[in-house]
Amino acid sequence: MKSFSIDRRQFLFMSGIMGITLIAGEPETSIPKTQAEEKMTYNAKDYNRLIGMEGFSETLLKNHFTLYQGYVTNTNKVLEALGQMLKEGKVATPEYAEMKRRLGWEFNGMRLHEFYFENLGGKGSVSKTGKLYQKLVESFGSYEAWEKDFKATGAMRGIGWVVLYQDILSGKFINFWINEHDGGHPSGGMPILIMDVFEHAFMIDYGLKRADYIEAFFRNINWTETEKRLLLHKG
Amino acid sequence: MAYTAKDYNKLIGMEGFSETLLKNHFTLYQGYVTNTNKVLDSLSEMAKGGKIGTPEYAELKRRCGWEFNGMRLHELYFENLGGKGALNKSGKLGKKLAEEFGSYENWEADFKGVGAMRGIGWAILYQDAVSGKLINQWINEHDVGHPAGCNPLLIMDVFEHAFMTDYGLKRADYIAAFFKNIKWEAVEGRLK
Repeated sequence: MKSFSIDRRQFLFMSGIMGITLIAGEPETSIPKTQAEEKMTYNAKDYNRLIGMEGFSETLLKNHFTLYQGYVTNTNKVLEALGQMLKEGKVATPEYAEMKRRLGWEFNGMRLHEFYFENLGGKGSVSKTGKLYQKLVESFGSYEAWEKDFKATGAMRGIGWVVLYQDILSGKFINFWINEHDGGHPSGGMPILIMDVFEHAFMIDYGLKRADYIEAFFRNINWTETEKRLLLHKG
Repeated sequence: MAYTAKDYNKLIGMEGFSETLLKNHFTLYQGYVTNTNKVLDSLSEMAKGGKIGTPEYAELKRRCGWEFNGMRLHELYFENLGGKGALNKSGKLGKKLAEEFGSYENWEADFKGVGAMRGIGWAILYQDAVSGKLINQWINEHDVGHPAGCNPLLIMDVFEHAFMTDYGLKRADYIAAFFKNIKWEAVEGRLK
């Protein structure tokens, strides 16, 4: 097994994509640490710049942004309710357990949408001299073989996501099927390219033609963004 | 013995459901029938070929519950649509709902509440065949949460394909349209 470490730049990048934002109003450094009272909440990001993207109607995108905002709101709600139950000594209740189960669904519904929107808005052509391209060729034999596998994963019967994951321990690249938002994430894996295949991602524009949506998705991939997500391996 | 897709074209024209949405929905339903047959065929081939201990067998077996219920729930759904939406409250089902939930209105509020839950799946009014009790159940996707051996009475699809084409994100409006078209005779006929 290769050893793995990240430098400061990568650390800062990762903290960025992990997306925790402190509710501010004041600079981060001066937030008073009133222990349990310290308020951390997620804020919905603005992806309106994607409107106008070829093959994606404004109606579909706006609905999609609204759905995304729902996940942010509900991640906060669930976290807050859980925090409240903890304070009130209600951790042994069925309500606590069910909210805890739901947390993985809401959180991933939020985070995956962010990754998805952020890896869109590009021109869709991968740089053949880039690191990611090389890695895909190494893992799959050729870029084309990777793309075929990724698209086939996206065409699977079901509701969910396709995620190109990098196993951070071995560095290996694997296309994963994620059921709904929460089923099947490889522990500790680094998500590199994310494609939504919930019905809301394509039905308004493509009806049942999911393959056409996948083609449109590929034409708009922001490969520069995916390249940034790559973890570099030392040694 | 293969399953055959049934024809629900008679529902076209139903108020609040566009032809595009219904036709897409029928096509999706046919996909579940086709794939239930495919999965069952493959499983029996594997069993004959001595491949029961393989991961392929296990995964197809897991998938079978999803495809089968995707087929059956759509049939029950389409078959409890196409009516005029008014339940005879002094009928057997009307009385039973009032008995168990305090009033018909309480039941309806609970059923609609289940349908409005965040997630992808179905709302089903189930009758517990053992005790006779009525329960509104959330089914995740097609396969998760069915109470064993219970009798499905009223089935409402809340997958995104059931409403997005006509209602965008307004699921509550779809649910209201669904209620206007419930075929209560069919639902009542399912009571045991």
